[in-house]
Amino acid sequence: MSGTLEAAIRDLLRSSEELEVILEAEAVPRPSDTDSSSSSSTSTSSSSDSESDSDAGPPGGFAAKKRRRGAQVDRKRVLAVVEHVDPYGEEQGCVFVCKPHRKEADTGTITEQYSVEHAFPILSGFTIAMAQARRNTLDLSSASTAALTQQKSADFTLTLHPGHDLSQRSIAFTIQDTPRLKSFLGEVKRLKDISVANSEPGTTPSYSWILPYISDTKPSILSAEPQDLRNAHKPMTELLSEASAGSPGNDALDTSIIREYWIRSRVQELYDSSEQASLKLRIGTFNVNGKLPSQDLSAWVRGMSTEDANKYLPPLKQLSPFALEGITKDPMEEAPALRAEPDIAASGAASESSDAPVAAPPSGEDDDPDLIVLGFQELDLSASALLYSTETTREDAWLAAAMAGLGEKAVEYEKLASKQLVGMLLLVLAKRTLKDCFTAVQTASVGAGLMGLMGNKGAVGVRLAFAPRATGAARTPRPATLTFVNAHLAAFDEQVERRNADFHDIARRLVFGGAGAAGPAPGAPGAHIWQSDALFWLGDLNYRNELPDADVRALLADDAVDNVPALLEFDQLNIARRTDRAFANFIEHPISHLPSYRFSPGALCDNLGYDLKRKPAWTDRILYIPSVTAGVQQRTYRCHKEITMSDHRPVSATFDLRIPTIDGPQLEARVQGLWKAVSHIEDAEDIPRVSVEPAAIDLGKIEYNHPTRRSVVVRNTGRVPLAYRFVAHAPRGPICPSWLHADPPAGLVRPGEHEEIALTASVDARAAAELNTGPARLEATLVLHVARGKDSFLVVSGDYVRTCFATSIQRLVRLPGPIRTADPGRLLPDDQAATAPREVMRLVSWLMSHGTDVDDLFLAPGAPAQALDTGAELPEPGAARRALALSVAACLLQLLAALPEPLVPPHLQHACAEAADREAAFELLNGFPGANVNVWIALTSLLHFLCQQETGTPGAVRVRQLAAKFAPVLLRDDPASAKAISPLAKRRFIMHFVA
Amino acid sequence: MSKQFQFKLVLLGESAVGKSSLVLRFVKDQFDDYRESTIGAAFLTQTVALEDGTSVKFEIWDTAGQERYKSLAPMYYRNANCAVVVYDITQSASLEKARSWIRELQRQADPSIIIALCGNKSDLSARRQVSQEEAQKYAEEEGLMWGETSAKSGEGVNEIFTEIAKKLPKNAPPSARAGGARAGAPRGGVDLNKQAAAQGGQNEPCNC
Repeated sequence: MSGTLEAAIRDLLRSSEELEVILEAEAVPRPSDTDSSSSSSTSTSSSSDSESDSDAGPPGGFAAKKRRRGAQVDRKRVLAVVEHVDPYGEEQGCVFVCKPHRKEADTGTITEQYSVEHAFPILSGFTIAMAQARRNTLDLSSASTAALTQQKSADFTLTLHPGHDLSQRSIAFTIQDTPRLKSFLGEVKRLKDISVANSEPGTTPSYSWILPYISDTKPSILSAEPQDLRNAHKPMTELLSEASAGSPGNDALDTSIIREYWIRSRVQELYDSSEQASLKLRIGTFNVNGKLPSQDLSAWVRGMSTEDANKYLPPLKQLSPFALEGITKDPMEEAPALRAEPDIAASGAASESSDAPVAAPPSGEDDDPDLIVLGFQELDLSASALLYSTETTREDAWLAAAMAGLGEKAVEYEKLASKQLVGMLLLVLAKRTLKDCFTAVQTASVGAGLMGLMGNKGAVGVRLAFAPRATGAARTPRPATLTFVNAHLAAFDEQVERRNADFHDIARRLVFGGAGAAGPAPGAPGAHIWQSDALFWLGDLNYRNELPDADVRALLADDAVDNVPALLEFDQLNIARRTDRAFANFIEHPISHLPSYRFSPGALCDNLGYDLKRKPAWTDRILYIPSVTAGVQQRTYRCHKEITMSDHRPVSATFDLRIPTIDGPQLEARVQGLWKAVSHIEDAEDIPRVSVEPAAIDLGKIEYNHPTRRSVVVRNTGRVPLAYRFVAHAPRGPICPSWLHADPPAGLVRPGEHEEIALTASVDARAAAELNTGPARLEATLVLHVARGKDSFLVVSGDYVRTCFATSIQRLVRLPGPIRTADPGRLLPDDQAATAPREVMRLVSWLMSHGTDVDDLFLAPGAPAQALDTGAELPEPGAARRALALSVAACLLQLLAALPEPLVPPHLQHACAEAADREAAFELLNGFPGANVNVWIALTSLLHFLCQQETGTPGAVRVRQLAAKFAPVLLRDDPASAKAISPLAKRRFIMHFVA
Repeated sequence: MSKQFQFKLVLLGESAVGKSSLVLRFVKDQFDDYRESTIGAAFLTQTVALEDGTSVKFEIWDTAGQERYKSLAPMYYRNANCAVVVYDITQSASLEKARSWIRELQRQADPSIIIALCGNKSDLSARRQVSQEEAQKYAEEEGLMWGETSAKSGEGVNEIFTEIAKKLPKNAPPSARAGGARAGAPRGGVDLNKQAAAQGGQNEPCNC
């Protein structure tokens, strides 16, 4: 027996390691493990399956017995003292804790294989504590009958303490083989003595040789659970270790990360090529203010009403803002099924302005949703409700109202799940025909109110698996896990930090299948919300607006301009997302509806019906995170003003989900195959070899706003897979200069294969501001580092074409001619400088002569012309004068927007925002640099003149529209400034000159 | 029981003086008549056993000699414990280039860096343009180590590296010595960085 065991352990080791002694042991369960193992032996629940690979028998007497034995096998371990001798004769020891896996061969024979579960380097801090096992102690610690029968003759308990490595816990074992224990301890002592004798104070010897044995280098993709959504969209480069030329960082860590991304991207190909099952989802959120249903909810539940039909949102190309840099392309862009949709392909312009109504009726609206998820808040405001009432009368009432809202379609739906926590209720309705596709429905709730106990704030959640119907290609489709969270966060304007904290608290503690509100113990079963293929978060999130009350109301009341986007800049939820304080990684469809809060009949209210005592706000929101595998396309996002029974208006959204129909076992086999192909990079004998060609690339002309792209080929000329990444020249520096981008920035290439890296030179305003004053010849050397291999240099060069865009006004006025003809080294002296940049003046005077009768000048989009850099004549207005005028206007706007500093100097902006009248505003111009004043006067004169023209639009409306258009350009926010200026104040300053 | 010390060594010098060949001879005891120009920087390790029972493990960065990559050299000699500046005895211009590298090292590298001046291609002494006296005199003035080598025949190669190994200070703890060599190195616990280095040992294959 022990001979085969020794051979099995020896099989694990490489030739550089020596097996000294082995010892059979049994792991002592930790207190947190006890519950699950005891329940598994008394009942036949499956909670011990996480430990065991083979117990899959049906429930019953025999199976239960077998299971007990299985639990015993699960605790079986082999402790092995392993010695590593390096080429200089230095010895290092390590205790491996090996765990058996039973493997059934095709012939039916069962063999045991081992893997290294833990590795304890035998360093000076490493200790073993030994105690005579006392039966009654053990009986108490493990109450299961299985453990009882096991402990018949336990002799010793052995506790391994890792010592210096705090990340590893102590582990205890029971040992019966006393004779071997002696030689085991003797061997450990010998190696520890060596380690102590060799140790230098303050240093820790390298134990890198154990790394390939530790199993957690395996990618998490091998797990059946969905990938953590927080990592799903993270660019790989954020995870890689810090490295630079000559300092390769942590090659082993980087290799494992690059490899995992590589496997994921290969698996993604499988997803992309598979059939996509469609799932139509409707989500609603409604704070009902304690009311019982008293109105027709059909508009909210089904989206059917005349008013809504006109407000249909154009389907946006809603891309994730954190597209995987590098290996994995944005899934939504890549998914062929989605790309085929004509409305998405044509959405280029529409995505810019979500508020533009689309004339076409909502074709998808007739398609009934497959799944309806409705979140309610403030279901019951009575005091007794706070005490976790178990009554369901309110739930029943709202379920009935929702069903009634479905009208004649109600018969097609039934309730799939619901979860209530005091005032919060989440209802999930599914189409009857699809009901059997939804499985593993779990619910959870968590309180976030008074000390997390009272249920007045918090969240309820439903987690479910949706398995597409089996197809010929996929007999057992892998189910997709969908998670829905309905939250009610802390109220009041100033409680924004509380809301952010509530979000994090709920995200951490809302656990499905766990041990309850307190959260499960580490290691206990339970899934958190991030373990999903798509996560939807809805509710009364209670985020308000940072602008003053009067400004919010004035902007909402303004009928000349759609101010919703400007207001949403100051929305607390958007700010929290921008600054990563809460809801990081979540996507929200652009809002085009008015605030959903607060309306109160009878109370004093403004003309739009908003309560005068509460600042109007978008408190009711629906956000989501897709995984890279599930495509989520939002179709609508609306507020239903016609449902007036509460002080909130309900909000709804429709989504199209695309779930790949992919065979589970096929997927697993694919992942295993990929893993096998690339798993042995670290311990391969060969060093990776790479060729990067060409070693030098000339990109030719590099122009502002005109990206140029070339590719280089990274070829693996060696015999082992290679992991590469670009590294910066200096620590913490960028891998590329601002004008250059390399994609992918890291990757894996198998022997004999190659990968193309796209090098894109693109100069935006920020890069141009830097390049316009530098040398015209651009050259950058990129350093491509191969893990365990060499650094390759890649020289990228090009000729920058200077532009007046992103050139400061002070520099423009001193240029002796158009920027491309002028010698940049010879600026005019100050006394010969122009009074204003001729580039701006040419555009203004052209518009004065040819464009003043164009009604929507500056307001309609145009394709900017670029004759400014060369000094060529601006085109003469011909037949297409309107289009040309719009283009010249767009060019002027772009020129002003690209200025390195806004036309109104940042340090004067707060004063400008406070200018009380025209006189004060003109007074402030004295603080502007001379050329800026001249541009300001010319520009505002043009705008003033435009507003005087007799056109279809009343002058006063045009003034407001133009001021709204120019305010964010001329008084661009200073990122360094702590307090943003209200858009209303900026517009007022411009209007002092234009009106 | 042998004590091992780890040091970062960088090779500098004009293109085509034989830096990579010198490393290949030192690490693998091989020679290629036709070697491609290095575009980048190759990382290799080799250990030298000393008579006093200690051993010195060199982490060698073999850098590209071409002028266009010169701006990257500081990244590789940053934190280096020793530098081997190579010239070609048949090209007097290459000694000039070596002088400029030495001036740069003296100005910008770690002040404690040990610099060895190495005249390579001693097998081609018939075409010699740089006399031993001239180079030696210069080395003495600047306080450098000096030696002539032939990567082709192997003559003098091990000697120069062994001399450097002897001269390196060995008072500091071994693993702390090379602390700067690889950023993000030991933070306690198992050092994952030394993965490649720890396994290869004497017969570390060339990675270029």
